[in-house]
Amino acid sequence: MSYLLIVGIFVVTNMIAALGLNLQLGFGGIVNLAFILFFACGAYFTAVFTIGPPGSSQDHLLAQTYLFGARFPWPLPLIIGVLATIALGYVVARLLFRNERDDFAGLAAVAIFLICWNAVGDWGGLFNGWNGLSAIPQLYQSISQGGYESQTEMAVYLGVCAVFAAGSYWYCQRLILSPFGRSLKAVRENRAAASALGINPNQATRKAFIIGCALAGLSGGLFVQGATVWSPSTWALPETVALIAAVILGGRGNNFGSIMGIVFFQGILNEGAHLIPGSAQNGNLIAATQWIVISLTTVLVLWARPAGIFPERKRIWPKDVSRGLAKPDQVSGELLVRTVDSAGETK
Amino acid sequence: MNEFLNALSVGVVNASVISIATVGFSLQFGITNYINIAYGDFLTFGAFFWYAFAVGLGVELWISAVLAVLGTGLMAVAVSRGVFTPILRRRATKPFILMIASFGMAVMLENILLAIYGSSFVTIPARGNANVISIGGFQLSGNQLSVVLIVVAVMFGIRFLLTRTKLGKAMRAMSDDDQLAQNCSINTRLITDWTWLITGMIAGIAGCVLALQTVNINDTSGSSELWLIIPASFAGGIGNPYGAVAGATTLGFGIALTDTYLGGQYDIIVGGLLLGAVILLRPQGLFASARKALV
Repeated sequence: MSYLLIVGIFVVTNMIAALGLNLQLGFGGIVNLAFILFFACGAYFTAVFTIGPPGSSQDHLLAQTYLFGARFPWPLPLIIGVLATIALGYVVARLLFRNERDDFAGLAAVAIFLICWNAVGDWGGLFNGWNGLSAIPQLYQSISQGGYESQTEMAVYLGVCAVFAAGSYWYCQRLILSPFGRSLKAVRENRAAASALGINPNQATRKAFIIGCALAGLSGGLFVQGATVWSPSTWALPETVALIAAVILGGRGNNFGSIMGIVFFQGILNEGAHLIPGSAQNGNLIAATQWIVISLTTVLVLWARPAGIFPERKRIWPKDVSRGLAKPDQVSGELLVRTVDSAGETK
Repeated sequence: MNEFLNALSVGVVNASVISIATVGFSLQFGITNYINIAYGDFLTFGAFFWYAFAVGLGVELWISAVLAVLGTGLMAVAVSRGVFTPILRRRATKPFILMIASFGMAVMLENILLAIYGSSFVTIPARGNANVISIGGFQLSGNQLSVVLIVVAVMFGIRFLLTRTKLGKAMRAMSDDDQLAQNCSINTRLITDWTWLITGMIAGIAGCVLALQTVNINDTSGSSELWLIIPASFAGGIGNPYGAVAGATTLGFGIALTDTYLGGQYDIIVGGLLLGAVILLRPQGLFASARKALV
């Protein structure tokens, strides 16, 4: 049962990350192959402010070295994690979006990721190097200072994560229906036209990027208190592919689709891989199968149905947009703006 | 000063291993105009095909190498035809979709090898020539000299292909403007297949050279080289196969210098810094060519 709770926590926190990635990839058209870096940033900063100073009684057995280090009450470490990720996202956004080709920006993102990943690993004093941080207190542990949490407490934490996930979902839906969301989609479809209409494409893209990164940081901060360990091997470059696979399968530009994609990949697929015969002996086979299915699904979806299972919903706006979306009977003969979904189909 | 020269010679040698792959990568981007992140895994497959033929099937060593090179080329054509071309042909495909698809292919190929061979290292029993030869102020072993000679041969081969053959002319035309090339009755689909075959074979050669140089290979050998290949090709001018060697040599120098003066293995960080710097400051690289890469 507690195994199911752990899986539940993983699934729910990854949902928040998928929402952030969907905002960047699906709505913003930004290929951020370094996405997992921001997840890791939130995780590290939250962990470091939960675990206590290095060498304190909480980790006397492990002798980890890291910067900062304090035992702040929850939710303060989580807030710090998100703020740190926003700062990192701001810096990276300033570097990345300069009117180049999308895929070159993606490569620049990977370059930044590789530099950070290797720096965090090689510089042991930053976040304990390649070994990473362990014995990160879970939510109730940090309050009660006891041993591992009981099942009830983990279930409560799962509920807390679910509340955050629901809040993020609500936020993303509202964001995409807002004027900012409309200008973001316009920039995604045709930068030049959006710019001619007075939207600053770089600014819109940067904003979407930073908000997506903030969601990633929130997700990382919640995840790490469920997982209690966090090392560079958990956030290697292919991990972004796992999240991208969920967003692409579920539907680029559809928040509900991203959530369903995570349920499929993290929930069903990762657990189903343990059922393969012969996998108990060959640990590599489980990991290899999981990754093959993730990448194969990504390629197949892009090959056969690029919009994903739940395509982006077409929105029709009446002339007076202040009243929100048009109901079918309110739409007059003239419509001001038609939106195109992420597969390029116009209606 | 001696240390500096030594570092430079090490840099040239390190660079020559990735130079071959960089030429292939740059050539492929120049013709097809998208980044193929699975290229690193073509290298690994080249090495593993060699292993499979030489050790698994017992075929004679150098014939296995030739078969491995051909096999990698054919695999590249299969990937291009099966995966990339159908995605490319859709109306709404943006460049980054192909990069995500190629990233997916990279993860898949690497994990296919992981599933078959596990993560342990394999060795191909190729005895090289370890005699040390002095040229000028540089010290090279026989192995390293042969790698440098292979690089030169590949460069001359590419130049011959691109300038003296009809196929090469067609490839250059496609690289400049594929719509116009189609209008001139160049069969772009066939040329794309040929491009992938040739660049796949180059990747196979690079994979075999990598196996010779690093002796022990596993499923991640090629993909870890990829993040040196991509900065090198960007530095030399993406899409420009001649600049690729210059880019690879620049990266090799950078790595050798940081290794000598800073100690430790910072190659990926140097590669990342070079890639970031080139994309952000001078995307056309050292040798800018008026190719569609710069659109």
